[in-house]
Amino acid sequence: MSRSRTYLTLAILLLATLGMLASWARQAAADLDRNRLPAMRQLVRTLQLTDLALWSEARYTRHPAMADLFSAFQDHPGALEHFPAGSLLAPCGPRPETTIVVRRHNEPPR
Amino acid sequence: MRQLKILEYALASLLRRPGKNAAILLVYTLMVAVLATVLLLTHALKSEAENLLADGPALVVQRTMAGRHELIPVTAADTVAAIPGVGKVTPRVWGYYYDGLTEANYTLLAVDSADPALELLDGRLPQGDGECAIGAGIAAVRRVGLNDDLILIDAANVGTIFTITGVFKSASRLLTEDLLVIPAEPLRRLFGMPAQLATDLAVEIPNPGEIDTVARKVKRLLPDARPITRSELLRTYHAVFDWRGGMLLAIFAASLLAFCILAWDKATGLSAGERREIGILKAVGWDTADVLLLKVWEGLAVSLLAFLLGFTGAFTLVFWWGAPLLGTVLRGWSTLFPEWQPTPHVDLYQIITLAFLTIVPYIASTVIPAWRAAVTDPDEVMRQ
Amino acid sequence: MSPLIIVEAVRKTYHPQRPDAVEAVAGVSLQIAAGETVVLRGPSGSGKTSLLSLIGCMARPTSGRVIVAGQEVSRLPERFLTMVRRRTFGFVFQQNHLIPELSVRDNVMLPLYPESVGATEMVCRAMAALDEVELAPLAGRRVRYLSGGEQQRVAIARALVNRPQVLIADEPTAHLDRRLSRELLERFTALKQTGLTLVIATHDPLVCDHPVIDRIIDLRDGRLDGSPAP
Repeated sequence: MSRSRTYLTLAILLLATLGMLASWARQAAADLDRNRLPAMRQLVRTLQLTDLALWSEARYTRHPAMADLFSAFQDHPGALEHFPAGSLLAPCGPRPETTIVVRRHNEPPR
Repeated sequence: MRQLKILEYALASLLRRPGKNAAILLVYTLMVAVLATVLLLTHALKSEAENLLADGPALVVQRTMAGRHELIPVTAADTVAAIPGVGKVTPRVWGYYYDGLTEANYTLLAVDSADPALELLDGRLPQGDGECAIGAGIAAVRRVGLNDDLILIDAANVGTIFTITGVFKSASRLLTEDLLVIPAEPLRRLFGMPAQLATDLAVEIPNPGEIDTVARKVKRLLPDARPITRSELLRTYHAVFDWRGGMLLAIFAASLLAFCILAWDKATGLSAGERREIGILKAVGWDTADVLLLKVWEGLAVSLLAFLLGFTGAFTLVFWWGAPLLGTVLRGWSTLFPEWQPTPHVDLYQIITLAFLTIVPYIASTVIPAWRAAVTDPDEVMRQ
Repeated sequence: MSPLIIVEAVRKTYHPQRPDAVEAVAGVSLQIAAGETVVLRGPSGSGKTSLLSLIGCMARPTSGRVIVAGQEVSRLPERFLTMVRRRTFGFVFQQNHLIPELSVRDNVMLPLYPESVGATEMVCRAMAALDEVELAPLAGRRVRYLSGGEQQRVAIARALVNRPQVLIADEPTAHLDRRLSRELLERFTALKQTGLTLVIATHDPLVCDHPVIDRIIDLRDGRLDGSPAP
């Protein structure tokens, strides 16, 4: 009966792991809700935000719910993106490394 | 006792073809892991959007002209405020700013708040000309921080300097990554927006049950207006993430189809050896129920293990490691993309559905081909 | 004492709905007493194997009755028929029908899985049955690596592991040389002395002429030889 015992032990261990992960998830979600959510909601209320800052390349990706009626996403939920950002993968290519340092007139350089 | 013994025989039977069954288990586990990752991440994204945006404006009123978004007269706020059930109506001034230096779009928002301090803000909100608060993404890409200066080019192509009075904390990146907050007057000057116009109106409605009614009244009173309710906003995010998840699953469908073909190949016929083995079992005294139970255990042993391993792996991958591979595809990208750790959410209904859809068909594909051999008289099976 | 096995006018037709339907047993009646050793003799196609299947509850008759230990089994539900077969009969098939990838012990244990017997008890009973056929030292070896004679002894051990009342053997000497055939008959003699009833289907004269045989029943074309056609 060694094989059946091994299998059942493994299955029970995995179920227990899943159970522990589920209860960790519940705990973590409750903690996050308690600690982070009120502050985030304060931000949303104060700034009157309507959207997440996920895809910032075009108005219909930055504010998908508020975009113009004719824009790509509004046509159909399954319409293909016409605009690269918000699509599945980022195009490869170097990001610019140029910076600007602003200095007022007569202000000594840092 | 009988169940344990038949499970023992089933496992011995699987281990007689270790390579084939190990390969099936591996592929099956990967399938479950990918499916579970997509489901868990999509659910986490939708839950996050719903939780965060629940306190946003109950109604947003835009103006449209020739089907396109137009700036709305500030006086429209009085019309909307007069509707019974409406609380405060705030004309919002906001828009987009393209920064050629970093090739990123910022969202510029006007805020005139009595309370400049926010828990998720290092520093304070801007209160006068030449001041701004920025999101952590802008701070990172422009390499600026508190009390540094930021230059923005206005509608007349003139540079304006803003001193950074506040930087939103990393914890709020999902909301503030590309945000730049300026008081209303300087923002109007930057955009060249006339004083009597606003981008849209944010409407507070204390009673959530009246939101749709108010929206209808707004549409009647302002025919060129487009009211957007909070539930429509949230539904859009549901649709966006479902769409992205669906795209991924569509790509994944090829692998799923290949696995179905494998299972179908298994289901459409029993090999001569397998049929013979069933005949021997029946001949030595196993009845049909015992043989079918054996086949159920054979199917369950593989599918249950694959489900448990796959789901546990997916859960760990998504909520501990942030889903490094599929998460990138599911979340998408942009120049200013917020780093975000999904909040663990477990939907029991989802787990049960996934378990049912992955375990039951596999068991069926193991039991069904054996059915005919199992119900035949052992005498006839032995003669085949 | 009433006979252990009563067969009353049984018929068996295979694939009755098809054009190639075959009536393998065409109205046979016989009785076998407990402890008797009976041979069913006849040429190929005479219905010996089919009659053995009917006696041993491996198949149901198309018509007629089979009564085992006073209980009619021909119309029993499948679960009970299987239980009767498992506890009353032990089968030694012409092809042995062992599972080659399994070990000797695992093959012998097969009939014990559906029984309410613990794992340890299963191993004990299997080893006891292997002791009876002098194969205990080879318990762990895979059957595919055994000789023909050894495989048949495994098949006999498997048939005995449930301590049946009747041992049914279908052409047991078909693949054995004369020496091994004689050894097999010695084994049957020893088993007969324990009170076991033996029903053997064969056309081997070596078996038919052996003193262990109490009675020979001749079959031809699915009927007892000499019995009239319907």
